[in-house]
This record gives sequence, structure tokens and C-alpha cells, in this order.
Amino acid sequence: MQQVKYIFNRILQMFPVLIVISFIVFGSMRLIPGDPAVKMLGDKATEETLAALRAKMGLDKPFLVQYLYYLKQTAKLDFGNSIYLKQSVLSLFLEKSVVTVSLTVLTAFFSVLISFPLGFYAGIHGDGRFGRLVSSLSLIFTSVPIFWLGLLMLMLLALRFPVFPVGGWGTSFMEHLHSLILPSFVGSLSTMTLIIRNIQASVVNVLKKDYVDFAYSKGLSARKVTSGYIMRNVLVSTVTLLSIRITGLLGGSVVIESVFALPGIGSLLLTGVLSRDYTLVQGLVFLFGVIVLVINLLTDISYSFLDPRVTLK
Amino acid sequence: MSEILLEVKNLRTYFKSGRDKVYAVDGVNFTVEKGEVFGLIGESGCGKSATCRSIIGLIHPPAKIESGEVIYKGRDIAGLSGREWEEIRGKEIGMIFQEPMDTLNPVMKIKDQICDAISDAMTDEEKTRKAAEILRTVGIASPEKRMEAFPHEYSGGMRQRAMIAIALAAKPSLLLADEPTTALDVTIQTQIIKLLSDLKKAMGMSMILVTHDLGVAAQTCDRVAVMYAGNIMETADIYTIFDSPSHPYTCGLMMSLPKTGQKNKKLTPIKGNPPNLSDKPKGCPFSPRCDFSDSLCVKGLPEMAEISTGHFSRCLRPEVLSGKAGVTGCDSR
Repeated sequence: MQQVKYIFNRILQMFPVLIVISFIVFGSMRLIPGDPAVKMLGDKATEETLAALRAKMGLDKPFLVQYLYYLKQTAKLDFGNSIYLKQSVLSLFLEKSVVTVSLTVLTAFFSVLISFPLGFYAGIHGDGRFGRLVSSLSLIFTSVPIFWLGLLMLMLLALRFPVFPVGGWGTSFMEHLHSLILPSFVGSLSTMTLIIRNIQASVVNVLKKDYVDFAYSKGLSARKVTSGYIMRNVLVSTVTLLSIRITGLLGGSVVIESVFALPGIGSLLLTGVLSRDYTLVQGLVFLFGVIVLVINLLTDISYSFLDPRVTLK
Repeated sequence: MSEILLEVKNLRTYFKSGRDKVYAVDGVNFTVEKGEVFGLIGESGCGKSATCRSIIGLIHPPAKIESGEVIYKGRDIAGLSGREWEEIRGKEIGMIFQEPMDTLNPVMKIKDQICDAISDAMTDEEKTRKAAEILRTVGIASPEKRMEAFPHEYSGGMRQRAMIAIALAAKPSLLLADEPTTALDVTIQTQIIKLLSDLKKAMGMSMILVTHDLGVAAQTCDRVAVMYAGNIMETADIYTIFDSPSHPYTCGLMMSLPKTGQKNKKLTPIKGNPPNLSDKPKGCPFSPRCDFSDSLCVKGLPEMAEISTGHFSRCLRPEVLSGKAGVTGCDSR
């Protein structure tokens, strides 16, 4: 019951934040130099036709009036039509989000799958050669730029040894999956190394705690102590990091999707920016904001399950 | 003569610091009899806790037990494997720690932490019933409800009780209590000490009580060993230690204690600081701070000498304190 009430309150709290986001998005779009009417009609348009279009689009109205109209439409989930692609922004977003969501989920999956065991092992055997090797490798991969690594992997695993497609999305489920493996792996590297180092440090820290020794002093097996006492306490800090990284992955999808030519939201956003399609950019940035808020909410909720000291109030 | 439960022989445990080995426990010998409360007393950093942890095998790298035997019920348990320890820990030897908040797993219900320690042969229901029963024994009211809580929802005293309940869940024959009352305020301290004494009697177990609090030792222990810089300096039963301490260090400890009924008398602290273990003084480690030391004292570590039956002191000149030499030494009485 308390849980439900908390979630409800949190959702209510999201609305003021959304309004602030919408204002920032709308305002910053207006700050960008350039006239959308000129963009739409081209350099050769006459002053009269430009003025007519501005009047039609409401661009001659004061800023606040424009903003309130925008807010009203946003509340109705109407983000307008893309100027360049001539399609509703929401339907474009929903269509492309399949790619980006799959990419993000697979990326998070790779990160967790590889970083958790490595991080734990490196933490428990922290002073050994392996632990040190893991820390140095993590540091290297955290610092390597992702687009460079992506291109390198493409050259190796798509051109030299054509195991994976060079780019594209394919048509069947298996083709989708196949084309996502390389980008997700490349995308997961920076997250992976970050989580490995976080888990390693966290394990080293937890191992020093008296409750681990106390657990051993009860006569528990090493396996039980590791799963019930060490891992659970490590997870508390890792989940937060993972969620921050997942929101980061959404931003990173712009880079990954353009390197691997994936038709996701990241590519769409890039198209929008390059073609000065400001309704598209405006709508996408706002929707990104919504996703980040939702992920944060989910993190807070899962956090309260993992750490009983966090009370839901 | 009563039965010996635990015998520690020549135990040496070191911490590695750089290339040097620093001996926190430097050749410790003592025995614990069945049903006895044996106190290990001394200043912080003298090796009491390291001794305790060595007994139950919870010494982690870079620390290591270098040599010595820990004979429990006739069997040397120093250097057992992980599997073998599972049979000893909890069931034979239990341990409680100084800071209950750090000792209880913060993300696990008290109930689960007790059930963990109970034999796997029982069903979950039996375990839960047993857990409630143990919590009631340590003085937690309405345990069925309270055991569903997490450690942070308990008060300091309750946490300490819960920790004792967990350590005693599998009914060990020997309990190692490492400063169990240090983190508590005085009224709770008294309650916990009384609880431990009562439980010890009821369960017929032995206890090693590590403390730097002489008052706590006096209330609880049958026999004590005074440790200094990794060595035991004096062993005797609790009355002898307080009535006629024969090692200058023990004496110094007694004189730095306030007593009732002594008005306008200044406490006499021991001069100087405890030695740095990585640069331990030659010979008797207490000699640089001792009022009675002479050139003989720095030649080598004095042997334990029996002053009277069961009273041993690691001092070359025990007579200076017994008053025989006409020196006013220790007037702890």
C-alpha cells in the first residue's frame, strides 16, 4: 500500500519537472539562430510568402503565446509534424524506438552479463594479478572513444572477417538481433568497465565489514556469505550506477546508431539536427526527457526493494 | 582440576606492512577451562582482537597466523580449511563483535540472519519458531513481530542483543566476545554484561571476553590475561589481579582507574605511549615506560614466572611490587 502511494506521488511529482523540461526545450529551440520559414521555403522565397507562412505557423505571435500553445499540444501528446520528413513526430518516435530500445536493452544485458562476474571476481581476488589486470583494462576501455572503437570493430568483424553486417537493421527478428550484437557490445564496453570498477571497489569495501566476518563466524559456507551478504550489499550501489548509465546509453545511441547505420531514435535525432527540423528535435528531446524521468522512477523503486534503509516517503 | 576447553600455544599472528612483518600476536599462550570466562585485557592495539580472530580463523591477508597451535577440545584448529571451519564456527565457537550496527547485515531481516545460523536440518517454520525463542532469551519483547525488522530499525542495545542471539543460535561451547560493550552507553553496558553472564551460566558455555574496560572485566571474568604489545604480561584469577598485581604494567592500569571513596587523589597515568609494533622495544616491551626497569630488562623478553599458584607474571623483578623490596609500588587497594 505504501509502495503504491509512493509511486503515485512520484508520478505526480513528474509533472512540474516535465513542464520545466518543456520550457527549456522550447526556449532553447527559439534561441538557435535561423528562421524555420526560410528553412522550409528555401532562400529564394519572397518576403510575402515567408510572412504568410510565419503567420500560418504562429511564428509571428509573442514567445509566451507560442509556448502556451506548444504546452497545450504537448499535453495532448501532439508534437506536430516533422518539417523534413512530413510525418507526425510521435509516430516517428514510436516507430524508431523499437531499434533504440532493443539496442539499449541488449547493451545493458551485455554490460551486466560481463561486468558482474568479472567485477566480483576482481573484487574478491583484488590484490592478485587478475584483479590488477581487470582494473587496468577497465581504465583503458573507459577512456577509449566509443566511435573509434566501433569503427575498429566494424573493420575487423564486418569487413576483414564478415561475421556481422556492416550496418543496417534487416527485416526479420534474427536479422535484427544479428545486426544489434556488434553495436550493443561496443556500446556496452564503457558501461561495462565502469560497472566492473564500481563492483570491484564495492566488493573490496564490503569485504572489510564486520558483518562479513560475523557471517563466517556463524559457520556459513563461503557461497552463502557471498550471495546473501556480499552480493546484496554490493548491488545497492551498483543499481544506481546502472540506471545512470542506461540513461547515458540513450544519449550515446546517437553515436552508436550513426556508426552502425541503425535506424533508431539517435539517427532520427541526428537527421533532425542536420536538416534543422526543429519540430522533430523539439519533440524528440522532450520525449528523451520523459524516458529519463521514467528510468529514474524505476531506479528509485527498485532501490527501495534492495535497500530496506531507504524508506518510501 | 577442571577440563580444558581451549589451549592457545605460542600463537604468532602478523600483519604485513610493506616488507616488514608486524606481530600483533607475538607468542601468546593461555588456556580456557570449561565454563570459565577468560578475560583478555589491555590497551587498544595490544593484540587482543587479533588473538580472538586468530582463534576463530578470521585473519585475512595481509595478516596471517605464522605459527602456534589453537587446540580446541583436543584438536588443533589453526589452519583448518574453509569446509572444516563451517563445522566449528557457530556450532562450537561463536563470536560477537564491538559495533553491532556494522556486524549485522543491513539489507537482511533479523529473522533471516538468525535462521541462517540455525542448522539446515530444520524446516523453515521450525527455524522461525527457534529464532523467536532465541530472541526472547536475549530479552527482546514480542520477538515474532520484531524479528521481521531490519537492523537499522533497532536501537543500539537491541542490535547488540540481536547479535548475541545470532551468535548463540547454534549453541556454541565457546563464545569470543570482542569488546561487546564498548559501543554502548553505560546503562545498556550493564544490561548486556548481565545478559552475557546469565546466558553463559544457562548454556554452560565458556567465554573469552576481550575488553579494555577493567570494570567490565571485574564484573564478568573468572580469570584474566593482561596483554601488552602482542604479549601476555600477567595471568591470574580476577581477585588476584586486582588485589596483588605483580607486573608493573598491570599495576599501572590499576592506578589509572578512579576508585570510590578516594577523595582529592590524582589518578596516576602510565607515562609514555604504547610502543609502535613495527618498532618494538628490545627485551621487555614495557621497559621504556616502566619505573622499575634496569639494564637486565632490555636483554631479552622475560619468561612467565609463577608468583603463586595460577598467577604468572612476565617480569624479572616481581618483588618490587609485592612490597618485599621495600619499594612502594602498586597501591591499587
